[in-house]
Amino acid sequence: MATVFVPPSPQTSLTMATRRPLANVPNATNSPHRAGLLPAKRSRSTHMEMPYGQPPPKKQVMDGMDYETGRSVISTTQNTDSKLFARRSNNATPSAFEKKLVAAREKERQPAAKPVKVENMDSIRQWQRHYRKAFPSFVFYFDSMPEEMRRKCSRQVIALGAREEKFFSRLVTHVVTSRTIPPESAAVETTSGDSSVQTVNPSLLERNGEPHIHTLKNETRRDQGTKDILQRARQMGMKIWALEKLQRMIATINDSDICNGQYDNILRTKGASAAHGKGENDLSRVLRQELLNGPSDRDPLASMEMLMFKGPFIYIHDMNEKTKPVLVREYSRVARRQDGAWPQFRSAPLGKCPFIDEPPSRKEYDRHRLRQLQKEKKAAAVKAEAQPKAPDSAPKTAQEGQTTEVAKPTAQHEERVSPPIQQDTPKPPVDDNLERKSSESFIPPHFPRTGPFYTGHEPAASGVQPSNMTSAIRSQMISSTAAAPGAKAGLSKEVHGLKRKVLEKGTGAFTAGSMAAPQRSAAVPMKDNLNPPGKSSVSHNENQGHQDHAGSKRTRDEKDAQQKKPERRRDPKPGYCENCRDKFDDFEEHTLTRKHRRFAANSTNWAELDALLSEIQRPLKDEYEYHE
Amino acid sequence: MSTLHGAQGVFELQRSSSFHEAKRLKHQIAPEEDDGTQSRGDTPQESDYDEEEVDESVREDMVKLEDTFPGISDRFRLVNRIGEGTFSTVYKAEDLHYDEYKNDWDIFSRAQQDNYASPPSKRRRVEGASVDRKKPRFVALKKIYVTSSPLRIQNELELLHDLRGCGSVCPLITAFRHQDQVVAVLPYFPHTDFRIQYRTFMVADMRHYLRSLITALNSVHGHEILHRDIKPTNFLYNPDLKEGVLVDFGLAERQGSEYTSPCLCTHQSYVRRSRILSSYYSKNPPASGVSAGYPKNDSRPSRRANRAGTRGFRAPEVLLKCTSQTTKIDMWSVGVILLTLLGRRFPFFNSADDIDAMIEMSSIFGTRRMKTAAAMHGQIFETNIPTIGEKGYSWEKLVKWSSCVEDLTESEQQATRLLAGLMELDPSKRLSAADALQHEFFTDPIHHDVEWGGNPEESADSAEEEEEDEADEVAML
Repeated sequence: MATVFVPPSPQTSLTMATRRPLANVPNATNSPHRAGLLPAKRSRSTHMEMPYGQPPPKKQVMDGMDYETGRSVISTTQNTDSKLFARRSNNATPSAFEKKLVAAREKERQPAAKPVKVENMDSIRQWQRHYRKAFPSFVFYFDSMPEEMRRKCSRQVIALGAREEKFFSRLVTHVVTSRTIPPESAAVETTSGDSSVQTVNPSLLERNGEPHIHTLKNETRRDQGTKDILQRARQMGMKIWALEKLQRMIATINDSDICNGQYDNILRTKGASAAHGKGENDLSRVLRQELLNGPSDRDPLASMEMLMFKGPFIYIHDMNEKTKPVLVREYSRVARRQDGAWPQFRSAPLGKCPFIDEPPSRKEYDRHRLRQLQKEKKAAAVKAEAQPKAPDSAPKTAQEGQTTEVAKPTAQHEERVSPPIQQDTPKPPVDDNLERKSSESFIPPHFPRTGPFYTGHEPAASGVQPSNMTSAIRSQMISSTAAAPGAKAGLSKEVHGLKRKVLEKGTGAFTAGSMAAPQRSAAVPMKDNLNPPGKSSVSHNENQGHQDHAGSKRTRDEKDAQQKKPERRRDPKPGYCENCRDKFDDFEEHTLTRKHRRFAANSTNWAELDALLSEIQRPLKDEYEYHE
Repeated sequence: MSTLHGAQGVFELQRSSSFHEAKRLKHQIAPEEDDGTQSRGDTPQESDYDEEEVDESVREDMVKLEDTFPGISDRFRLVNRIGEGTFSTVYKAEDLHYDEYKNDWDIFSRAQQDNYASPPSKRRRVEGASVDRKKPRFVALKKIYVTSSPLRIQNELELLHDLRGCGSVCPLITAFRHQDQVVAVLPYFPHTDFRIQYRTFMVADMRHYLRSLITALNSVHGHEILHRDIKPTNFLYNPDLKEGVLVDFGLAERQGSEYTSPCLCTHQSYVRRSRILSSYYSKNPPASGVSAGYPKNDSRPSRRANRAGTRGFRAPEVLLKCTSQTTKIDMWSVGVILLTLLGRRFPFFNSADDIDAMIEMSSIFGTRRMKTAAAMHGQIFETNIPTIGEKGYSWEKLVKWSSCVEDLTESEQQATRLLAGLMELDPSKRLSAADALQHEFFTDPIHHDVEWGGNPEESADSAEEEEEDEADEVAML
């Protein structure tokens, strides 16, 4: 869309005067006058970027062959300039208008695609037949249209046998415009003196060796004097179609669901020519699609630089490449797949998420050690508590430099949590026999229900670091007392207290040898595991310092004085106000701003809600109603 | 609800003592209430907690609400904060004028009474006004943040209002506004934290849980409403009543309200096939069979679709940005809950983001089924991640592996068959709520249950990371 139509202005003649090479004129090679009815110049295909010296994709090989069959001359006239041009136009995001078109077309297709009654289908088919026959006699002129759109339409009408006139002339039978079509009466009014249209026939010029005259396209229009081209078209009795109409018609004429699928099937059952066999039909459809959609649609990716996958990846993308991939992420290659950083199904301890790599080896390691050093159990427990927590502010991409991420899901609700970086030197594996299991080795651990689960089967602390570090939960597990991602907004102090308690006691419990896990019956009650909340020790509170985002100093001081005071209050709560459409850093502060207060006080903003609220008033009991 | 009484003998929970202990790990939403399953000595302690241990900041918040919302303190006495989410805070409050109103909504009163009555035989008591008057009546006040647009608030309240009278859906008692502050009054429903329940649930318990949940969804879906955020935290289940209520319609929407252009999946399969055959990808298959790369500076528009929901519970079509999502997305989430219960793992899916979610899903379903699922929505699924197999695993295998057993009981197998119907990648083949209620799991239940005693140490141990679930991007209420 870089070349949106040039407004009729003196500058356009400058364009002409500077006599740019043919290749600068994007539509030159497209011109039906040049290429006859072989339209759809794949101008760009030979210029596809091939980063990293990859072999050309198959598609391009095919293109090359195409050119051999008669259009190589054209492609050689291309220079980088045109390539740039094309890329620009391909990269441009469709305008709102284009989107509307697509939507309109979709809407159009919708009913047709549904299994309609046969009669209905028949009438559509008749309509199709009619226009297919009629189209070759049409000569189109495209008015006020973005260049890219014009080329597309041109391809489409040409594919249906019609012609495009680059210049407005008597030859034109149909004017297609994106502007509003003037009423018929208006045209009559302006019918004054010069009713004869003085246009140069461009095809003649071209034959005279002036192909670049195409830049005149808009110029000529200007030359018509002040009269609008649509009005002239009216005068001359041409059909004026809205662009949408053309799109709709083309879509319906080409609707493969009607003509290719059912239509042909019906023809066949009616004993029509066997030449409409399915295979041939598919081929011809493919060919026609190519004609219709041309290079930009046919190869939407050609203009884009590609990042090549080097490691394991997941890539979910639109089958027509019309939109950005829904998701794509690449991971760095690993020697053993269980070391991969992507989520893997692993044999996590019972009760735990199987996609979280058995955390922190550290925890397991400590547990293990605790068991060995029973005498020091208290000290060790404290240590497990007090292990320095991994910093959680590392950006995701920094995470071991492993994951590349594109098209990150943009949900507003999604709260991405930065994973901690594993900085600690890996601890030696506790037990070499205990290998982590990846999903391939996804063998159900063969435990009867009665057996202890942990023994020997807990994915042990292989010091090899971490798979699934992208996970918020993971970071939770590592720094077990750290606030959950939304904790600042969510959990009460009590819950934190509980958590801490749980951890401490949980860790301690191992030493007691109660690790033998799920028993079918009579699991040992661990009454003492859970202390009543609110009795957590100060040392545990110290850990909460990790949660403090801002003003941690203050909080900490206060905490000593007043344990019950949660850091939440010290943190200004940032967010977004849907009413003011403003982001804010401090919720409380924002709600007091004048803008917000004005919104709040303006009852018109609330009228609809109030109407609803009045409907849901709480019904009084009858006796109270009267006394009210 | 009364219909459940008869079944009690059969499905009586067999709790290990660990369960009882674990109860103290109360859900943040209702940290203080007893779930009524046992009436032992620890109940008073929890009530004390309720009345006394109100966080300082919570108290301040409550005072502030009372100050800035004229008249609210005449009607309610705020007791404590019981939940906090992205768009709201929920307080427990005493309903001071309960008796002046018609309280048709109050099907919970008995349950609530029971919590403060010591005899374990709760339901024998006849509800008498004289007794009731002494008991404080509690409600939940949902204070919607003032930064929420009136439209969003209206949407939630309107949907709730439409759903009034639907069983197992949290009724809206009333709501009122003062300037930008909107408070919805909801019943206070005593329930047990899912994190405590999932380890000890027997299949019979799962049946009650799911029946209640799916019944709620049947009503919701009958109104063509998508809840969009089905997860244990939004279904307050009371194992004693064997009933739960579905809460938080903050993300709910009417089916079809967000359609942009219809997704490929809305078409007949033959149409889909022909569209796929004529797609760019089919005509330009990558030379090596797998895409070699992806565009670097991609300026194409993004595919847009509503993805609201909670990680780990999003249906495949939500991840694939289907533009024509249906009520079936909720049924997938129900499947995830069942998987959690059967696999005894919570959360089952970690799904730090949608990509992780997709990889996790793929490691279960395998590439072949994922490709088909993606193609339904006009998407090409490609991966060469070595731990994602082609065929994936059967649900039975998965459940066995996950719950660490060698064989599934017959009733577990039956539940697994329901699971397969719920966690079906193709939304059109996935069981609807109505279908699910007709599943043999409910209509012809196999009562062959083996107690699965959760391990206390474990319960305690992993509670810590399960807190995390509360922090979900959309954890509301």
